[in-house]
Amino acid sequence: MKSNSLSYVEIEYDDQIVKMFIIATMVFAGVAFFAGLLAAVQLAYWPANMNLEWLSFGRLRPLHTNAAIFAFAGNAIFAGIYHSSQRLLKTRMFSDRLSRIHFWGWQLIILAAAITLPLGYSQSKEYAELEWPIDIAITVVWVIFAVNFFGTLARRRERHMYVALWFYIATIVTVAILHVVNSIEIPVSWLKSYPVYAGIQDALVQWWYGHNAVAFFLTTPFLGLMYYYLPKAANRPVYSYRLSIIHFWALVFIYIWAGPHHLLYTSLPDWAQTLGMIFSIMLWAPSWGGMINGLLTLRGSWHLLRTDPVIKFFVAAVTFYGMATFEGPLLSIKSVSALGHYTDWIIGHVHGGALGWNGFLTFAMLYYLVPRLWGTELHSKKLATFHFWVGFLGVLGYYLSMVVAGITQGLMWLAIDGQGRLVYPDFIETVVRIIPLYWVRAFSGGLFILGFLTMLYNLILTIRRAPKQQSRLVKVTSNMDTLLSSEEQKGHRGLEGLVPTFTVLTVLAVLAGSIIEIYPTLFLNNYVPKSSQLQPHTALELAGRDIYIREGCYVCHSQQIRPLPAEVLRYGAPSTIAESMYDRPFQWGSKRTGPDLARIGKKYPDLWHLRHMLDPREVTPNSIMPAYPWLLRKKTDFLSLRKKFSVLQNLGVPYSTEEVANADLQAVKDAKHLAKQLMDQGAPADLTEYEIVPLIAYLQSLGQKSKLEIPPLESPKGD
Amino acid sequence: MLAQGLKFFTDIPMTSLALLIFIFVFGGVLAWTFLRAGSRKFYEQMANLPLIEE
Repeated sequence: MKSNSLSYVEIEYDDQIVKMFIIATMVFAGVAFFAGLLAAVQLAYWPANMNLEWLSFGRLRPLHTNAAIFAFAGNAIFAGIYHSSQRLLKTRMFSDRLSRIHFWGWQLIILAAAITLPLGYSQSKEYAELEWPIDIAITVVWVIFAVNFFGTLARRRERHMYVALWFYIATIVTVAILHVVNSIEIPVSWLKSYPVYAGIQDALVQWWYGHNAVAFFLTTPFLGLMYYYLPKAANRPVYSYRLSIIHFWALVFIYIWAGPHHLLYTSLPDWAQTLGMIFSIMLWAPSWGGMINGLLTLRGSWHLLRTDPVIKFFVAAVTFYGMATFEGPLLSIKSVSALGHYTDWIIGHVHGGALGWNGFLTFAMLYYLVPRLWGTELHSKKLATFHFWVGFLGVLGYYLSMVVAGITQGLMWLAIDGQGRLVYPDFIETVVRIIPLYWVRAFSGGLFILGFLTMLYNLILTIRRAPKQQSRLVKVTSNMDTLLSSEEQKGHRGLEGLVPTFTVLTVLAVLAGSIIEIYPTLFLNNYVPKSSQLQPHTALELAGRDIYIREGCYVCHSQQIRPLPAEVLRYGAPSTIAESMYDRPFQWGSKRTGPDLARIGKKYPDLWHLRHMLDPREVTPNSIMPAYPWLLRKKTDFLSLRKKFSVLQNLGVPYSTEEVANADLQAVKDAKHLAKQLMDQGAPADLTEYEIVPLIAYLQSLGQKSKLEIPPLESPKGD
Repeated sequence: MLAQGLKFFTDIPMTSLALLIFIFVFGGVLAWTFLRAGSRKFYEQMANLPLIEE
């Protein structure tokens, strides 16, 4: 760094780290998109599971979501934050070494996820599937990122923190809180753990995390990027800076309360469902404030929309943000949720946001940044425009096909005829009906990927023709020592220069809703009727439950019957709060590609389950479920059961000391008994050692463990 | 349709509390930023920060 006798200094920004994150973004975009495409094809054409356990849908789907959120979007966020923060703060990052540790640490975490998820090492908590050693690594790398970011803020030369930086601060502190709280788990082995939360607690904490991972990993950082890059691309200041203040505080405060809208009609207490629903509706105000602020930034520059592909991507991204944030609160209203929840409508909603908002905003940022960072022109504007249109058609096709599929399926599930019977009693009818739409989805995803590949080609050629880079010194001045007028110290204006105060207020805004919603559920026993007599899982059932988790069954099957007449007719009595009170992690699920399993126990003979797992189409024609032949080849890990029982006992599951000491022996004994029953029904001889046996034991236990206290029915139609 | 939507807001105290919190926070921030004299000019300058930093 050179200093000058005048009032400026010459510095060089660390753009190398930005380039590294950009390249990682492009690489992992490919991984996330192709994994998503394969998963989409698997749902339309089940043989695409290829009978490979590590490629089966239940394991591929978590890989896709983690790659999309943490690898693609994560690296994009970091690229944008490192680039924009240095310029907004007029200083190089606090530490180049911390920047590199952050980069390589994050890529190693992604690599660990890419290895462990297909191998079935999963906690089964959506978007938090990674096992405990990786959770710790995430915490460490995130703290390194935070130290580097706040260190940069501390040595800044611009007193005022621009609005983009507020969103970055909110992202950093809130993601840390969400991740740490949701990841408190007790290890059983190096790659297996059980969460400290159980049942309803686990459900609420998980969806507080899951919903706010969307809020604070896929929304607030991208809003920060929007507030920085959209004005730059349009060469105009943001429409209303004051509106951005309202946008920020209202969004940060309100978003955190909305998690329970993922649990409407479940056994979550009504008060929590009501809060989740109301605060979700309130989100309309700040979200649309932000969208309007983004779009109106282009006032006077709308002509750029015709000629500049970067602006096209920005406008479409902000519009998709508006659409997704309109639809989200709508889906949170109980009557709409009764129709849409567990269906593909939710998948369409999520992808409208992920592909349209996060994807397009990232593409806009990449098209803006790559030519500037590499000191050249974009290779082809025409290709970028082609990318926009083909990608846009892809997102629209994806979204519309899934909304139509979801509403179709929801209506079919809820349909009751004049005699009070289900119109579509066979679940498979509702699956077969939407398979053509699954093909439309896969085709549309293919279009989106075609656009991405076009961008990849375009940017690679842009980079290849870039001149050899020289160091680029920039002159910056500091206003940190200038005295502020009394006016500039008043109200929010004063706060905008005070990093610690601003950060503390952000944390308080986030913690308010979190504590009010989560704290009461820590006292789970208050909600469980005294007369409930729940038996915890036997050792063999627990072994089966862990196989159920490993195979990602929760991805397609819920275990939560809502108190709706059609659900009770189809599945049985509504789920109660007591039934999952020992479930670590809870298995309520969020999607029904297949039917609910909460009361599947004893509905079919043992042999039916064996045949179903070996070839689902043998017992359910037209089923799209993958086959699981490896369950008859892989041997059950009986030895770990003693340790698992011990951990669960320490967490409060009422196992006796004797049960813990004999867990493995008891499981073998039960397995022999079940294997003999299977053999008597016609199964191959001596399956005692194989994983199919504990899985059948677990499935047969579902809904059989407690004395039922049936809650009253509710109807989405009000009758 | 409005009645259909509203029929699920049965927990009146919780609904009222949530609305009060919303009005307090949203209205508070609104007043904090828009009712301060002289803030318009200040924020017009700050809005230009991304355009002048390089």
